[in-house]
Amino acid sequence: MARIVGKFKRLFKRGGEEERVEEPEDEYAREAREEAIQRALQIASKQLEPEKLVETARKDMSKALDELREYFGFEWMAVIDEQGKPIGMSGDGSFDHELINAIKRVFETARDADTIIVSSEEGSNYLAVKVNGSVAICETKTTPSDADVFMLRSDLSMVVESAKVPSPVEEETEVPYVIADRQGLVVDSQGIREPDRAAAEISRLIDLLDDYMEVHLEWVKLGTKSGKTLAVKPYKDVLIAFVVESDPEEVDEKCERIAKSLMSKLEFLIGHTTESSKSKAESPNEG
Amino acid sequence: MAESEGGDGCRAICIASGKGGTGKTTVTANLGTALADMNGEVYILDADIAMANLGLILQMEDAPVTLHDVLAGEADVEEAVYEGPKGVKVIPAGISLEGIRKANPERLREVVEWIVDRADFLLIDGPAGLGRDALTALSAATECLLVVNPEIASITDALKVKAVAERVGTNITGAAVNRVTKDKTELTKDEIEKILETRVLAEIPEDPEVRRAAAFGEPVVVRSPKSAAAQAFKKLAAELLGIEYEVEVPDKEGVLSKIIKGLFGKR
Repeated sequence: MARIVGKFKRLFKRGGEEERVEEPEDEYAREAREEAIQRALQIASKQLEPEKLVETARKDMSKALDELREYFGFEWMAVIDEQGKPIGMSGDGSFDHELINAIKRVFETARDADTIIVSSEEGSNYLAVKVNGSVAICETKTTPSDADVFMLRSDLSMVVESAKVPSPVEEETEVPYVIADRQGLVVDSQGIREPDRAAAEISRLIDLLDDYMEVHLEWVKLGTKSGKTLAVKPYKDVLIAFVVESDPEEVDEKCERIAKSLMSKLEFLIGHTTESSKSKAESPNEG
Repeated sequence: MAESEGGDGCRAICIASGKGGTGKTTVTANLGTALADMNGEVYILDADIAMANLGLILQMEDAPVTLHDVLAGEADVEEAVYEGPKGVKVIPAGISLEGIRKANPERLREVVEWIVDRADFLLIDGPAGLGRDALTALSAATECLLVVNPEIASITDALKVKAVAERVGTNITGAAVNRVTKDKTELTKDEIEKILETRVLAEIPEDPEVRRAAAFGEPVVVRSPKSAAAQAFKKLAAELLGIEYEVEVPDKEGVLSKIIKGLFGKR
């Protein structure tokens, strides 16, 4: 009898539970769902859309690489072409030439390999993928999955290919420029007739403005009636100066793009010099 | 585009989800059976090479020849095809570690090509996650049906699968939301559609009949065809076929029979 009464109780209890589902939505449940939606939408908004990425790459290679790096959560990412010249870089830190050279050697030796994953006990992993002759090298704290590698390869291939398509940006990177240290010594130049003199004059100009204005200079832009603009960007210990022909409405955006591209180039040069002198210092028997 | 295009209009659909435990295998078995019941030649393939269990829920765990043997190059595809409920053709994967070791997932495309030449529908039960096997299964299909649960982790994982599917050229057919309890904290159909940017084709309720049917080695669409979950699977099949589905009304139990059931435990 007690068993039957118990079963009746359970039957009524089940009915009670079903009724509870019909109760009005409580605040806690509503909050929980809204929180989940917001977070999911945030994650969804961070998804890379290949078409948009290609569009970005055409306009600004560095920005496209920044987007890729952020999506995959890499610490830094460097892309070099078949000759080992930099195509672009994103993230903190400079090109690690020792690592890049080692990866190039592995790809040259193991010709069929298209992916290298190096793990370290410290938790830093390195991923290198060969895409259309170019190589991307990335540092990451997490172990890349097969899907990460696949997606990186797919997206990078589009980015690299779109960069090969002649675009206004590519023409812009051909602008005459000089990179000089604060004392006016040339670090690098292209298309400037007398780079030493230009570097010295630019250095003097910036010194003058620094003394006179006593503020941190971000940009100095000198426009002319012919539509040419001399832009100077103080960056770390150097001055990046270049000449652009541009519509006044576009000049700021154009200058930012060119400066960013020259900064990447500079980082590569600095890294290369540092690594060369380091390896020379460490190998006294050589040469 | 994905590499294996359906020859004579065969739709090769990968049943995928980022997260494990969403119910991909259950969806594959039930959707495949429902499609076979409504349409012509339907194949279901267990491409979860390392964690195969399609055979288990269809009572084919002792199949003498499996996909593993085919992928190992030790058998032809037709030797691994078994007739399941409602005439659905099943290619189960083996469960032995030796079989997993010998199987070459790269041969999966050849298996898919063989099937699309003779089927109207092919459902590929893909592995969870986004490892190499999952990528192979996704790229072998022409369409992808995302199986999700109505909660954030499952949905965000599905976003990754969707991103990968788009990159291998596999179209997203839509999503099936499985194990819906209508709890107030669950994401709704509209919310899931907004996040995934794809249509939700079915909402399959959490139904104890699914587990019971699986225990008997049968799809719920066969064992309890009028249960809520079975109806949802059949509706999904109709949706894929582009036909109307009329909901079957469950047999109404009288008050007395409910009491007897409750008292004496008859199920």
